[in-house]
Amino acid sequence: MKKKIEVARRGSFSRRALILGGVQTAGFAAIFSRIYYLQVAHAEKFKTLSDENRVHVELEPPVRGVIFDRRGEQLAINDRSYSVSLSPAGTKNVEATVLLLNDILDLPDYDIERILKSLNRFSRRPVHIADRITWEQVNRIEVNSPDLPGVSIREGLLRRYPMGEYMSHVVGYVGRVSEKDQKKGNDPALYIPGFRIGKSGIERSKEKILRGKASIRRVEVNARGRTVRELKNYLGDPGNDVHLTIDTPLQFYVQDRLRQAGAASAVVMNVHNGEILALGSYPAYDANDFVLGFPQKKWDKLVNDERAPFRNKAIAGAYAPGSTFKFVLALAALADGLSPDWSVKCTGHIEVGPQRFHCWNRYGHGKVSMRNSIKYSCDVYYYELAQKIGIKKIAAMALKLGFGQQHLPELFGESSGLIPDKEWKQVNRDDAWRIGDTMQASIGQGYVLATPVQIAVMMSRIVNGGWAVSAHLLSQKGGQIRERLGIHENHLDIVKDAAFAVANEEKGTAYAARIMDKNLAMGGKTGTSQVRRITENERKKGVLKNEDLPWRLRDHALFAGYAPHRNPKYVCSVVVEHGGSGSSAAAPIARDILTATQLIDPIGNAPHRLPVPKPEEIANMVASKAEET
Amino acid sequence: MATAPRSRGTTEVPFVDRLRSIRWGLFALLTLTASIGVVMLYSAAGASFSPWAANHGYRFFLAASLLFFVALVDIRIWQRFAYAGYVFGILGLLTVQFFGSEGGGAQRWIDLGFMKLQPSEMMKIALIVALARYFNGKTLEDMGKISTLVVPVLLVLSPTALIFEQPDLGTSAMLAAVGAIIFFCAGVRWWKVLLVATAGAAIVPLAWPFLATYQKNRILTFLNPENDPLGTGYHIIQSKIAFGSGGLFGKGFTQGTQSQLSFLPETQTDFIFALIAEEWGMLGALVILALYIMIIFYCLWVSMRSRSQFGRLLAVGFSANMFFYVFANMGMVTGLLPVVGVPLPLISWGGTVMIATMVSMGFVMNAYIFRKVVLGLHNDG
Repeated sequence: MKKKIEVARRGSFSRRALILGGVQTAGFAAIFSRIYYLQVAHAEKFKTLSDENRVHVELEPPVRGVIFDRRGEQLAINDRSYSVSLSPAGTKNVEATVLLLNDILDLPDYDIERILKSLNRFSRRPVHIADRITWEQVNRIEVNSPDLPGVSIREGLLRRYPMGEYMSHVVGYVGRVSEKDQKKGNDPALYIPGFRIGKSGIERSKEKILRGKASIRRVEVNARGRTVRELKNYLGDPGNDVHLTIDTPLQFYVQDRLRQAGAASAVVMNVHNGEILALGSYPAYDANDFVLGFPQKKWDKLVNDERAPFRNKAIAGAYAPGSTFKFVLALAALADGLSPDWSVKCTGHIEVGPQRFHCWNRYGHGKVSMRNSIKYSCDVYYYELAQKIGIKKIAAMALKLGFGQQHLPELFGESSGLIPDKEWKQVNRDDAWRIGDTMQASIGQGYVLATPVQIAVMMSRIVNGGWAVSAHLLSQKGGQIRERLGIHENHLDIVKDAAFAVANEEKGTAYAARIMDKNLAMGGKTGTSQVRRITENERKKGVLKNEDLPWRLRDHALFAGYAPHRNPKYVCSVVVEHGGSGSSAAAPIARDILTATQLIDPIGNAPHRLPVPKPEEIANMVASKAEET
Repeated sequence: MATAPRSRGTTEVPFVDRLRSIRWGLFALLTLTASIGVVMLYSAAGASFSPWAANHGYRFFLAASLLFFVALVDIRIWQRFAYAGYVFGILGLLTVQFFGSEGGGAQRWIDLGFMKLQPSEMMKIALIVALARYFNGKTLEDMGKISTLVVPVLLVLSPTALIFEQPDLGTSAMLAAVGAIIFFCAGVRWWKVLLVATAGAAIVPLAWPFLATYQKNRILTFLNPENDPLGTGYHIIQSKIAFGSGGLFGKGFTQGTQSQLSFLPETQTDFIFALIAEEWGMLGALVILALYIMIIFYCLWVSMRSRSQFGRLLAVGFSANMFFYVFANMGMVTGLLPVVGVPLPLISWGGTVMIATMVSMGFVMNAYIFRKVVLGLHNDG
């Protein structure tokens, strides 16, 4: 009985133990397939994840190239500086650490916001806090380091612009890398905290040359972000230097001279090879503020200034060229076979159809030849001339002389200006070209727009004997111009002779602004361009004087000049925004700049080696020349 | 009639015979596993014998002597003291409930001064022995009566509830599971087995509101670890990375970047299998798996050799216990199961589990040594 019971119990147990063994085998099979899944099927994926865990790539920023002027003066350099960054992995209470840092660094509110935003606990990437902190701040951070976990001070280089606002429109500035830059750039250096790239001017256009290549340090880190060992290094390259054609002493003089005009720009150019020697635009800003951050007050003041300090007027300002455009018409007419002796009787206005077109001199100039039409800047002469040759030939000559095209693509934001013709108006204004449009264009008004650089290029092409120079800012070897414009030299001489009369003969529109020293004598052309329409009604009552108008409605004053007359070397174009008449507002500035240019003589043989003249010295020299008679 | 079975069985086993019956093969498997534990703890400490590897070795020798003690004591003595042990275990749990130290967010330890004792591990052993004794006295016919099952169900549920209260979901679930296996092998009717299994599955959603927040989190994280990669999901994700990146042959001894660089923290305890898999690859993982399979099936084999229901149930209970340890730990480390704090026996750092495991194996060996001793239905006590 007992045996039976025992046999049955043992049999039942054995069966069930075997079933249990089977179930356990199934469990082991599950574990085995999971091991296979992780270690064979997906091994590569997990190896990658493991490497992402342990390997950190540390980038050492490359040393940015230096920007020099033609004398070897440094326009953009790299200063040693200490910067602070915070690694979120190293600190438990991020906000407390930032606030404690703020006690030492006194950060602007928007910076604190930026920092707290970019610090989140999911990121191990260090966040950039501040640049160029003082030696005292470095010490205070070091002393307080136990209370500032995760904070590290790094010695680095920071861009500085020694010339401040004198060069900022040319050199431009560097700024923080945006997310858009990172997507576009495909360069690991763009991910270095605190790294800066060119945002404007030469800094931007020559970014590729200046930047160089970051050195890459791959290190193994532990879970707390501490470096355990170095893996592989890649040594980067420093950026290359850039040499500009700008002459610093002249640029200083130009910028200072423009300051007296309020809102103005000027271009000084070598007539033979198009080197830009000075590119002035006033008001300006200090490029260093873009690197370190603007003080709020300064920023507000600049942004709200109606004279647009951030705009480089020499390239981005497109103005009606006014009477400076008369060179184009004269040359177009001569090329068309018109005799320079052809003359017009100016009565102060002409009637074309139902419309009346006025000369700037309401009493008229009487009988005017081509030479005098330029010397007096007689408008009626050009109304008649334009009717003879038509807009097509005017536009063709304008393009030949450099209008309607960019000359300095190395600076961003250059305007092409505008030379209108029948097709242009049809396409852009959906309207037919009318005779009135030709009349307007003949005196450089209406649709015609030109930049100070274009005006300087035109003047150069006229006085250098018809060589097709363009403007450029980068010093390059063998910049000899080999292409001619195909304008008859006699025609150029006729125009140049008239330009001399403008600034050296009585009744010439720039006679008052002549250079006394015959060896330095300049020639040129004034221009006054309206920014508002004068109604017939106003003409009857008497045209309002500029002084009686709000600033924004006053005329632009222009001058295109060259010097010395006998063997021209330099060209200078000046635009004074809302400055009044070309002869009174622009010509004197051009006279002073051309005097200064000839005294400094940046393209002469010796002066390169001379010590850099101080701005006051130049001003004194120019003033003493003006007194000589 | 009563002499016939006795002629084939024995009542007394001389001490020399006991020594001869020691299963050195099983002991070798245990020693090998524990040695791997020493080696891997050396790696987990960053190539250092302190603080874990050396101690692990000493503890193994201490635990091994306990194994032989348990194995060599007459099986009837264990049978006699089975219920006393059970009561002792319950008292231990109650002590933890009122005087225990908090470890890892739960009251699990009694600090004895020289070591921390985890009564829940001891309870598991006591429960297996007590259940084995109870069912030893029941015929298959008895097993068909519901009344027979009332007492053992209470035996299982009281410690399960106490451990669940601590709270220690993993151990209480294992306790219930081991109990269920003993019921099954003792011959509970199939329809009851299926009924309880179904009811158990139905209870899971009902138990949800009674779980602690961290237990809920573990289960939610298990279902989707990427939800909170730096919080609760961190361990699972990093463990899987350690495991997978080991590949076929591993990164080399002490070269596991996941654990050596602390991306996978605390590898000396529950996640040591990930460390093995990272440094020795699939090769190492399968060697470990094979060792445990051999130990578990060895126990199962012993259970079928015993002439007494007590011995059989002892061996099968401890086999199942070992299986649940290994399955829960490996499943957790590979992301197959939720994170429940279950160590890998003999390899993970921890004194109680080492001692509990060796004592368990002592009982298995005891069941083998005394395999021929017939324990009658009513000679308990």
